[in-house]
Amino acid sequence: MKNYNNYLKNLPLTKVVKVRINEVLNLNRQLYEIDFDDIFICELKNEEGARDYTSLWFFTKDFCIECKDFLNKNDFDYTPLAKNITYCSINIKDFDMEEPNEKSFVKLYFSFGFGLSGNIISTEENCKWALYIYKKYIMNNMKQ
Amino acid sequence: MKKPQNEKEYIDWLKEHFNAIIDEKYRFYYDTVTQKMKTDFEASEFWTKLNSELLEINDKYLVKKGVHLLIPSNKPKIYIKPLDSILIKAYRKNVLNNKNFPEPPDDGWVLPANWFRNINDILRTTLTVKYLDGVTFLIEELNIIAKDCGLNFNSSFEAREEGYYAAHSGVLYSLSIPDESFMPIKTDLNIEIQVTTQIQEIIKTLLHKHYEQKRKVEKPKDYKWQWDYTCPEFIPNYLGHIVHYVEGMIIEIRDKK
Repeated sequence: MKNYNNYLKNLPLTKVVKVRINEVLNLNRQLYEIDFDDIFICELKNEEGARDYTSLWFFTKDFCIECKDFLNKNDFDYTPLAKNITYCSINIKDFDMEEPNEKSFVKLYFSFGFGLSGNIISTEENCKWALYIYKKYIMNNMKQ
Repeated sequence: MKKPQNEKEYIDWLKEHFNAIIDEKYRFYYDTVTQKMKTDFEASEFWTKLNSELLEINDKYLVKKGVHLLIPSNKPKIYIKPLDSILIKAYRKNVLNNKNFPEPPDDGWVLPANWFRNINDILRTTLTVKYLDGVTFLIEELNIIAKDCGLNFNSSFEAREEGYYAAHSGVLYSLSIPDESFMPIKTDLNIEIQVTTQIQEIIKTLLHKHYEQKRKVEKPKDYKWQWDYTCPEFIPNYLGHIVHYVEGMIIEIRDKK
């Protein structure tokens, strides 16, 4: 990214979470011997107002990787992306597609068929990036 | 020297033996001084750093344990001990628990002239964590912040027979306060930082009245509340032990998962 330094800078992440993201990123770079075009952090605020991080995504034009519960595990799902998505949906709340507020929420769902699917959840500033991921990687990879 | 039997007699006793007058003028002085202490401490490097680091500390625990340490909406606040509570504490130390009475207790009399220095929780705060192991984790983090700010840090893990469990820590903070003639004097003040769990905090709030009352009453030396199941201490004390045990089990289950 490419873009991801800018992305990480714009999210209210603590130093310790950033360190862990870099750790997972480097591990995946070593595993797949490729650099990623984009990354995405799934997060939401729980009922106590604390930020939960559910998964970390890496994207290239050909595939995506979901790092589930990335703060505590090294558990990665690799899925070919190119024109492979059979269904997708987007759920937008309190977001005008330009300026997010503290209530903004975007949820993406996409399915590859054969029971394979992905979920992307974002709040506040991260909603803009969820939209970017939706347009660039989900919409552009719908099966014809 | 006649032993004062209650707080009212204790105030008269202070006046008679130490010329320490607790009147409206003194109450105003106490409020002014403690308010200044609070304002100074809230502007200190330690307090500012602690508040700005809480999210980082939470996420450090989150990465280590997979669960949150803190509740974001619980912002720590500094509380001032009311003068009446200071008087009860001094009465307890000077009279009720003083085996040397009418001579001073081993650590000396606790009097208005020295209680800003000698009473360690005139300013206090409580940090609440979600899990029992978060108590030691947070105490270690507080120690690091205190060291960074060049402050002395102390901590002790209280585990009393009466079912009271809490970590008491403190930082020694040097500041200038006015004496009764409003001349500035340099004082080292201990700011108490209690670290407790959510459940312990609930129990503590429920039991606070009970402890305050209990501390004012003298009991025979060989009294065993454990055998007096009708006494007011029986249920709350055992509740304290049970809660501590359950919190340990919660950690056990959490970490197995």
